[in-house]
Amino acid sequence: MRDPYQILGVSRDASDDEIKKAYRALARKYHPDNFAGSAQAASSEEKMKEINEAYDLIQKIRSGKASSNQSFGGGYGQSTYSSYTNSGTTSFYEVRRLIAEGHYSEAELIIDSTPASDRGAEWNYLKGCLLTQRGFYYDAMRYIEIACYLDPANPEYRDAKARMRSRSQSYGGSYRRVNQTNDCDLCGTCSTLICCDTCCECCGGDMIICC
Amino acid sequence: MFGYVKPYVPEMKVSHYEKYRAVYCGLCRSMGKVTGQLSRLTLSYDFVFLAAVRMVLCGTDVEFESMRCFAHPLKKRLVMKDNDALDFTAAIAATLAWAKNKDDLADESGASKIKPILVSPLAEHINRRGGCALPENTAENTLAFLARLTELEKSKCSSSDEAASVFGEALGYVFSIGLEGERAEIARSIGYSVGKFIYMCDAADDMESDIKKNRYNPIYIGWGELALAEDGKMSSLVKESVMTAVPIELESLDDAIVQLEELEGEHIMLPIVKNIVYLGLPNTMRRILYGAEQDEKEEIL
Repeated sequence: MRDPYQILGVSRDASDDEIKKAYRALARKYHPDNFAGSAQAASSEEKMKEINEAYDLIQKIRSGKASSNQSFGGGYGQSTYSSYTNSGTTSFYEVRRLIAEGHYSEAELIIDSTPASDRGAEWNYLKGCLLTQRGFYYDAMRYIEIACYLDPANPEYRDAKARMRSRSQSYGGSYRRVNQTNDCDLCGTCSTLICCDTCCECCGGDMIICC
Repeated sequence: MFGYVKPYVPEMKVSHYEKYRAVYCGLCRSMGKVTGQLSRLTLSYDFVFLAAVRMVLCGTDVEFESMRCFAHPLKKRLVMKDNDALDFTAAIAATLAWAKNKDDLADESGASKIKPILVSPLAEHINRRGGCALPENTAENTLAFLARLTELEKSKCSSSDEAASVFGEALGYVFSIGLEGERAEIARSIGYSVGKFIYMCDAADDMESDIKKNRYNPIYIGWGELALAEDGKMSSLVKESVMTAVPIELESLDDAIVQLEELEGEHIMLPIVKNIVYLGLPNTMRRILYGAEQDEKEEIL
């Protein structure tokens, strides 16, 4: 990630208020709603994401949650993956940082140059994460599944697998829903009418006179 | 192709099923007309999908008639009257059969080469006739994709997605022939997803026999020993992983169908296309991985 101060266009020693102001001005300018339907929609979204991340990062650095301002990325990665407890090598730490910042191709370089002997559960997990970015889901699922197989207790890997599975189950949801509701429409309408009628009769009225 | 792209019939309206069969019969007749009677043998369900997508994309007006044919002489059947989409699909079917044959000729050796050699004059013949209905170079371009795939397979590509995406690109190309602009893009993305899906179906379907014959299999090469359970069948790890990946892979197909609907509105073939895309494809993979019995049990419950 680039220097967050630079992204917001403020100096390093700007006050909190100045930063907030700069952030708001940029957010107004690049808000995706301004570009809805136009060709710049995607790029504005990207820009917006960058601005948000930069702002969050500065907040974190200033509140002392992130490390010194020399290692923005490192600090950011750390706070995102605070649950990360594996004592993996430093290079995987680097990979996580790169992924968190969206530098996928660089992360992939490190991952692919890892010697076979170091390719444990975490390596498989990270490789899987990177492949989802490329839209290679058959391979991604294989790596995530292997990560879970190698380290069944790890909540991070299990979580990734569960997320993929729920995404998988939602496929074609709208199609199936439409088809199902159509099926019991008539039934539903009739029973609703009968219920209404019964209730009316309880109160002394009548909605359907013949019954 | 291999007949992996089929509707899920239990969830289909009878009227849609009738139309689906009518396309099949219409396509069979069109193949007889465009590429010769013998080419009708190469017809598979996959091409009905191609024809249906083509009709929606081109907004083809379709008509049906009731008639007998020599494959079903006893009962009159609903058959789709000939139209451009059917003729196009018939020519494509011929081209693909030819390209497959060429590919087999190059690949196979020994006794298994006999079949491609015997079929090859026929393949040449139907390709010549089918080629007239298609833009120039269609056959060569298709062959180039298959050659790229063979290359990947020979180099023992360990990524199933990489191999599958070459086949996807090939079908993307085939789907988009003769179309322009947005329609071509939609067609290409439908073809790509379906092609990738077909390739993975084939890989899953053939894994055990590929291992026996010591042939390249994209699933086995990636998973290695983990691919097999103790009884020598596909392990549940692989089954689960593939079954989870299929619908996520198909999300881009879903997007393309939504675009298609926005572009063309309701077309008479759209419900059939949707059934295949949303229910048929996942169900095909489920049957391959878990077998038909599992499937029927689920149907009843």
